[in-house]
Amino acid sequence: MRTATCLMLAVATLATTQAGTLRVVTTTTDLKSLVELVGGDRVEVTAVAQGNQDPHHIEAKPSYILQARRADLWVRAGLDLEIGWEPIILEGSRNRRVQVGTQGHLDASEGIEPLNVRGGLAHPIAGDIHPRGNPHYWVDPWNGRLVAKAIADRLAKLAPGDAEFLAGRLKEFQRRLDEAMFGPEAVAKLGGIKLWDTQRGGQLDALLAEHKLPVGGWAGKMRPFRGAKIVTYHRSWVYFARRFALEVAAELEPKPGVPPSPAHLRDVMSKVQAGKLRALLVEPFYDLRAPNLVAERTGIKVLVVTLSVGGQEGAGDYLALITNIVDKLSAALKGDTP
Amino acid sequence: MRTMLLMLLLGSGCAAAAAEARPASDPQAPPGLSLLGRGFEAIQSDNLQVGAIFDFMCDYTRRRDGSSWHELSFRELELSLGARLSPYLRFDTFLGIAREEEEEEGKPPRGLLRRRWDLCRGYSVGPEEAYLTFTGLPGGLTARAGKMKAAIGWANTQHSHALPWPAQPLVVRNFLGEEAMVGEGIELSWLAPWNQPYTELTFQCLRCDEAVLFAGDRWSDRTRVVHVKNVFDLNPSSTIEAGLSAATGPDSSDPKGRHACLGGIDLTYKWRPVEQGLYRSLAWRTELLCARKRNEVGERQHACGIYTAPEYQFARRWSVGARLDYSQLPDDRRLHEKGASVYVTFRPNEYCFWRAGVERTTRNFEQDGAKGDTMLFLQLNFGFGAHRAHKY
Repeated sequence: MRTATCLMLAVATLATTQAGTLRVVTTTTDLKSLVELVGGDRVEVTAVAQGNQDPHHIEAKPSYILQARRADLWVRAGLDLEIGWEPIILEGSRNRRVQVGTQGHLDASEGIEPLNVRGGLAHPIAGDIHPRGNPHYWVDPWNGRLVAKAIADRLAKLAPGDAEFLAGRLKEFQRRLDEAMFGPEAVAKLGGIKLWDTQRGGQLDALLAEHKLPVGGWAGKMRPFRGAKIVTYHRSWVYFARRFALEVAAELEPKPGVPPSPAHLRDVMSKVQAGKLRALLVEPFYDLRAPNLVAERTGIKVLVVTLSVGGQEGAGDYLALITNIVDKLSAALKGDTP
Repeated sequence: MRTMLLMLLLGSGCAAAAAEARPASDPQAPPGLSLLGRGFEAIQSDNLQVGAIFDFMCDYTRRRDGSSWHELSFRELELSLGARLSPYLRFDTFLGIAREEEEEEGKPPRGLLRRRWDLCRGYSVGPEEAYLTFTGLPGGLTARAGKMKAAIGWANTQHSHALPWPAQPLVVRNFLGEEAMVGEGIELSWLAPWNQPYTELTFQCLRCDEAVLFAGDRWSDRTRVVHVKNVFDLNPSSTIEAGLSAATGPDSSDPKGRHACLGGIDLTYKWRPVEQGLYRSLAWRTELLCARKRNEVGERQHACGIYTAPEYQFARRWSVGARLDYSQLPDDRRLHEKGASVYVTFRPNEYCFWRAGVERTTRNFEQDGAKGDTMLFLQLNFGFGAHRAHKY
């Protein structure tokens, strides 16, 4: 009898836990990681695009519709990144809770400051551009911070009972992120927000020198390469470049989404040779023939580096993703083998 | 010749998007395309999506009797308009401008959704599809009302620009019509509540007055269609889809108004590697249709047809494909056609494709004095504006 009672209690506890868990579907693994970091065990998260998959070209497989059907919250990167597949999944899911405009639908780009805003509508002549702005914003850790806050706020609205728990998790994530960006000493003494604000204003070095603090974290690692020019395959590194004061001197794609043509590659090669550029960033899902050709002819280092969580070993969560990019890029710009 | 020049001009415009980088406002952008594109931009809004898809084809056909001809034609312009009318109601319409065959003498069909209006030089405009979609229904249900394609197999539900071939397979042409089987009525579809496989059950009640098998001028002449779609994820890279279709409605040839029946199976295997999905993919479709109807002298006929068609993408913008066809004629099962085709497709960007290939058809009966023909074709298809993404 006692065993039966114990079993019933265990089942009841499990059922309560599952009933209190929000089912979240995100369009990318980066958003999935942020939801997990903020939501902890109060969320059950799945992502549509894998980390090593081009998020522009996802086929709206019916299994994604099944994921969305049961979701309490759908989180998208926005800025039209998912325009080719999100409507089919959401409409097919028949889930009223997660349709655009409802509380169960979160566009993570809403709070960020988009770059490359063109306005108007998509136009084939300009390539695969996003008129509302470049959607690869999550590689700027400040944007990761903003998105985490938006996620925590939305989760708290959906599960008001967990608001305190979520606020605590968010604070903890922000602390870890700030420390990873600036180093623990600076964060402990000056606070994360002040450091971010100062860095945006270009006064970080002066502030830290004033307080006799070292520049640590990602900012410290990337500091020697301020103003360095890089080459990228796709226009997906503009936010990262702005955050760490790098300059994207050339892109292998003549227009976003258009594969490199021989004439354009010649143009890129001459820019690489003239500027003595040292790093060419390529996401794992692109063909390496064109980057390798440029490398053979110019000596530039091809750096296969993922833009998304799970796209490479060592990029297991959001913080590890940024660390992976910073480590690889700083090593390449230094001339080391990453 | 003029059509050929137009094809080349427009094709070069498509390719321009894939060529060297130029700002969008560059005056060197093809002026015609730029104007059209900007025109569509001007009338679109966040809610109203307007798009246009043009289809041109140039073909050379040689018959088994030795005769031959070539044709350069503007096959179709599909204008699409879509808008969300409320959170749970959406409207979509697809207007087709195409050259029509000479119509038989008689009254034109009545009703806004069934009519076509003459434009010029044999071209006319009419709604291919126009329907309201109700997405806010409970219990995993979605409903549509209006003019829509019959949910039979895969090929019949596709718009011509979404087909991987320049024309429908023989079995679809013979059993359902040159373009597709379309009708006015209602549709109810239900998504099954289990997790795997994806199962969607669709029921339609349509009036299909232009269908090969089914007839009906009156509202009471309804064709009922049922389709079950099952999709299994084999692994993250591949899926297999198995569908079953059935339809019954008034027999188009039976003066006594008895019913004709249609059954079908469709199988699709799709593979697209997760990491290299931009550059490699495979889709292999097979459809079998069987029909039971009466011919003009009242004899009951059982006829079947099948096609199988693999398509392999071997580079970011290139794919090759083939199709094998076999189809009996639904009015006389002793007569049959066989077909084989191979083609290559080049997609400079997502708005445009070129397709070239050869299609060979043989028959055990004479059609227009010949028992078969071979056709070489070059197809150009491109679009402007918004276009709803296609279902998986």
